[in-house]
Amino acid sequence: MKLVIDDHDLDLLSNNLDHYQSSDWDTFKQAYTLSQMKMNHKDALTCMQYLPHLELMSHQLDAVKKVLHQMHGRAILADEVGLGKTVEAGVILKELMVKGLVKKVLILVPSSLIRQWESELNKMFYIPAKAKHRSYPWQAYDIVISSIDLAKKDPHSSDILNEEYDMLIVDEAHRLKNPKTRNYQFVKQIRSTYCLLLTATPIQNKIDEIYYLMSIVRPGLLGDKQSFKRTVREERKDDNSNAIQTLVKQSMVRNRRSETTNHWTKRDIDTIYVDFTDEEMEFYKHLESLDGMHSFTALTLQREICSSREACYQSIGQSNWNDEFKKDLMQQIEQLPHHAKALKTVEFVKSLNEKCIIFTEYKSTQIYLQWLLHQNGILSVTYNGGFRKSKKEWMIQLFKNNAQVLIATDAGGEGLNLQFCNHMIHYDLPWNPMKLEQRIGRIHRFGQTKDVNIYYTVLRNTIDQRILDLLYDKLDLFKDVIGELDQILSQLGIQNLEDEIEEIVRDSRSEKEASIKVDHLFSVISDSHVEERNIANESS
Amino acid sequence: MNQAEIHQFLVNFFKKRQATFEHNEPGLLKIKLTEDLDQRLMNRPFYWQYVKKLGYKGDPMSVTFISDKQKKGEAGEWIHYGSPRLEQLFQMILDEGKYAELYEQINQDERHAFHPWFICNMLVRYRGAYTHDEMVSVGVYLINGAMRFRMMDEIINHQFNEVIPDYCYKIPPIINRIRAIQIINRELQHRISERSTNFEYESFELYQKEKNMTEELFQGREDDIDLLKENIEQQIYDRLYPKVDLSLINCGLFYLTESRSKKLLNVS
Repeated sequence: MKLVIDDHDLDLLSNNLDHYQSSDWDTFKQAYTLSQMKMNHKDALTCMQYLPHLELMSHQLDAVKKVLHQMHGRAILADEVGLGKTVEAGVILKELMVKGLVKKVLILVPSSLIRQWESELNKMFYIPAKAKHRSYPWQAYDIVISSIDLAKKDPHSSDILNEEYDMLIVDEAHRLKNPKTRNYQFVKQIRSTYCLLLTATPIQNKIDEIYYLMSIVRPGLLGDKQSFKRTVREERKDDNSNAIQTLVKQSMVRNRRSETTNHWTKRDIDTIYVDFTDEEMEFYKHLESLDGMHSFTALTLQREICSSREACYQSIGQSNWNDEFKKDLMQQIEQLPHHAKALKTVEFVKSLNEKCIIFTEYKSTQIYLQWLLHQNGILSVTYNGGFRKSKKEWMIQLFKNNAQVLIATDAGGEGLNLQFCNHMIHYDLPWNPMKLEQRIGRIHRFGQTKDVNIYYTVLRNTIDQRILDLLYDKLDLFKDVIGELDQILSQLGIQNLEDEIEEIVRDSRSEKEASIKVDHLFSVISDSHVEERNIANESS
Repeated sequence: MNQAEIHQFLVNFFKKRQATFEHNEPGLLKIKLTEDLDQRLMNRPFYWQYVKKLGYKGDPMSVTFISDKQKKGEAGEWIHYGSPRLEQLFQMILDEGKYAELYEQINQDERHAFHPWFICNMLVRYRGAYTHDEMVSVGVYLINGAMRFRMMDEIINHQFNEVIPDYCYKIPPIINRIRAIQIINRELQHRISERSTNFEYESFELYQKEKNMTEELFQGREDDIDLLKENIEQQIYDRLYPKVDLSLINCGLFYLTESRSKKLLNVS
């Protein structure tokens, strides 16, 4: 017989019989029926009855069941951004805990997401997870959340490697794709019965990356390195072969936004046009005339003046032009009236009378807008990447409870959940479509119940409008690739899409030429998307 | 237990444990705890330590429990199935109801001989390819060691008391409780291994497959990877190897009337 039966509890009972106090019949009976109520049944999710407020989308429920029943608790969760991987991981963890299979858990996430994981696990799942505090040792925690950067350092790493965990969860696991890094070496050595790796981009550059992720989750599934490489080579020759995909599917769940049956709320996009005052327009034209001198700077300054006087003023101040020239320009700026776009925005926010987020590219604009809103009796908070963790949290709290407006810069916005708000103003249009998607993703995500309203504020006859015409009308072109844009760009050797677009705008002699160039760029990107899809990336 | 049943559960729970009811309407219950309940539920050991040290009489807390969605807005703790507080109360019941010595309730003034039974309720948890629980309730007749399965089903609708009724006497057990536990354990293990072949087979196949995969991966490699391999094998064993855990829910010495004892023994 292979079965191992553990009757430890009955031994204990024999030894302790005399120490028990007798209860009454009602309590005895109740203890029995309560235990009956808590029983687990094969192929059923026990934990859902404990989470009555949690409604899973159908793809999430499928993912959870697959990981638990077919993959037996070790898997890569590779849903696209915004489909709720964290929730899936939470349910899986909860279920394993309810079944009594998991007690000690190590959760490694980027440091900016530690608090968010902590509060979600506690509030949504009643899982008593704690962020690692420096004055407590690792072994004192049952369920601990930390950043991989901290955990891999000594003495933490040796402490962790001495522990035996029941479950290991790594968020943003694409950081483990390189086997030569300390991250990878460290995570691979952690002892854990169950294991979940979360990443929206299981393959960023090379198919090898999936091999290394998989050798943490299910070592041996893809064979050893040589045989894996051989299979890849054979598969390249033979179009019909999908050996790797089939294997990977055994331990990876990947859902795509386009395939989920969930009803996403609508996304309405509106453009608000503004005219510069004559003085402003004159100054803008003046900047344009600088074009011959140093075209790069002129373009930058034009973008800045379209945002605020302050942004432009600051960068002129920091430029290496001679002092007299600078002084002249700066004096001109000082003469300008309040910024037309800013005034219009304030007016719009007032009429909106609901919570909204304003995104800008410049910190000086951020401060100016806050001041201007304040002058108009509108309470706003700022948010940028330079803030400490606690200040960021506080700002979000303020926005949620007190302020009407959140003014944010792009940096530091990743991973923020702001579903309680459904208006977003792009005060400056980002030149990188990825940025735009990331911004919108803050409010148009799992949990948003209302339609989402997106506004672009655009100054007529300026660089604003040029970009709008040039880029934004074409965004539909790569709707599908947005989640993978990063990896596609690096594949194509494009360092920075924004620079690429800036170059096009600067160097093109006519609008027509610029437009054609952008078309080319976009079609290259969406083509490589098609290739990318076929590799092991399909959801099952 | 559904949401509507929670209120009654709370009322019964706290009534039984002598809390003072300050307000009781459907879905909203305000009570003042006793000192014992406060110490067990409210997690403020420092307060009680401090109070005791100064020789004061502590002041137990008042708590409001809300179990009706409509009343969620009012001040108090929202209680639902799965909420930590309810789990805490469940755990108290499970702890308190671990053991019992009880006598069957009979009509007054009858003379009866009470026969001793040892009743043991256990959860059998299969762990491997899947996790599945079974409840096992066994009664051992302590006169001759005969066993009766599904014992709780037979007695759950009857009443039991903590003291022996007047004019009744008990027949002393011949088999002691520890021996009874052994009998139950042996029979249970026998039944499990007889009847769980599918589970055993399915889990073992899975286990073997994963283990072979690891073997292949490490074949022909002799660097310092023993530890890594050991970890992987351990992980596979813990997850997939067919295992059965027997855990005790509760047990007790039950005295049943002669007629009921006979009936139970005939049926099985």
